[in-house]
Amino acid sequence: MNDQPNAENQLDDRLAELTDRLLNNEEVEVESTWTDSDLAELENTIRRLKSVAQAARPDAAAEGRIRSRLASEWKQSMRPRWNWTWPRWVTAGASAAFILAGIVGLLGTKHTEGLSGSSGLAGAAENLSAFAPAALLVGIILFVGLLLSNRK
Amino acid sequence: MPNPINPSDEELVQSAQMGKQDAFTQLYERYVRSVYGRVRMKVPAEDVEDLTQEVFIAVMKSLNQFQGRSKFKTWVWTLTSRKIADYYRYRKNKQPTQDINNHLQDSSLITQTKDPDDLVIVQAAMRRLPENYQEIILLRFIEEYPFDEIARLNGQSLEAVKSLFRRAMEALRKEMGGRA
Repeated sequence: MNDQPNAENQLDDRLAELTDRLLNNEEVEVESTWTDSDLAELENTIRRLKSVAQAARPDAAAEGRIRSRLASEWKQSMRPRWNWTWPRWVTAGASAAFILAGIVGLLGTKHTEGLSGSSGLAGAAENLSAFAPAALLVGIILFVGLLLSNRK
Repeated sequence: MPNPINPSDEELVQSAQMGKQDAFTQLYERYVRSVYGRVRMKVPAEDVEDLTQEVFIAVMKSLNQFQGRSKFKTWVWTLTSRKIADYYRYRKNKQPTQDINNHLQDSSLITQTKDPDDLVIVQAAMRRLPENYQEIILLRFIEEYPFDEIARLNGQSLEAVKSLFRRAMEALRKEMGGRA
């Protein structure tokens, strides 16, 4: 009752083994080794498929053309993209904060020049304005660093 | 852990997504034989180069859509199959009377050819097989995966894979014109 499935399994195994041997360039003598006529026919199919599959790589000229087309396509369509990992978010945030502080400090200097005496507001503005150029510089350095880190 | 000497496909995809062209070039080198081989098995020789190119351009343009839910190689194979299907759809719409596929589907032409070109016969026969038959033949002959690797890749038993392979080869033999 189970003979047919067993026979089919045997055929599956023998075909798989035959394919492995042919693809590994091992000599196979079908007449003596494989008496089954189905396998003998399939052996021919495997050999033809193998010869077609083995040439499955573009020649040097074709590969050169594909590569150059892909390179130009890359330049056209693939601008560098940001990978927003958390250190980059922190750097970008710090850069923005420093630049903003620098701008506020510089603008504050102009607006508080007219304030009289040593009011609290004027004092704070003076303190901030003293650090404004340094804050701007740090902000710009961080921003440039961020841009450079994303380059190849 | 990233391996700088031999990065995985997924690591290369991540780098390419960030705009690193070298990473894409490495992916191309890994898959050019696979894509070219698959295209060559199903498309007339004069269009194989163009279609291979189109597959890689499609890979490039869709890179940012690749989320890593499937393996990169299966994603590339899916894109390749889609491009081949598009190719035949376009040809069918454009040249219904001269469509080479219709021409090749005439098996009498194949069996009557005195000096048949094996490549053309294999292409025509392959295209007439069910997808799962085509795929197992491509995995064994183009990708050169051993049967146990195919079983692992497909999540099937080794026996099931060998059985599918035999049925696929028998169907191919018939499509190639009876006694090959």
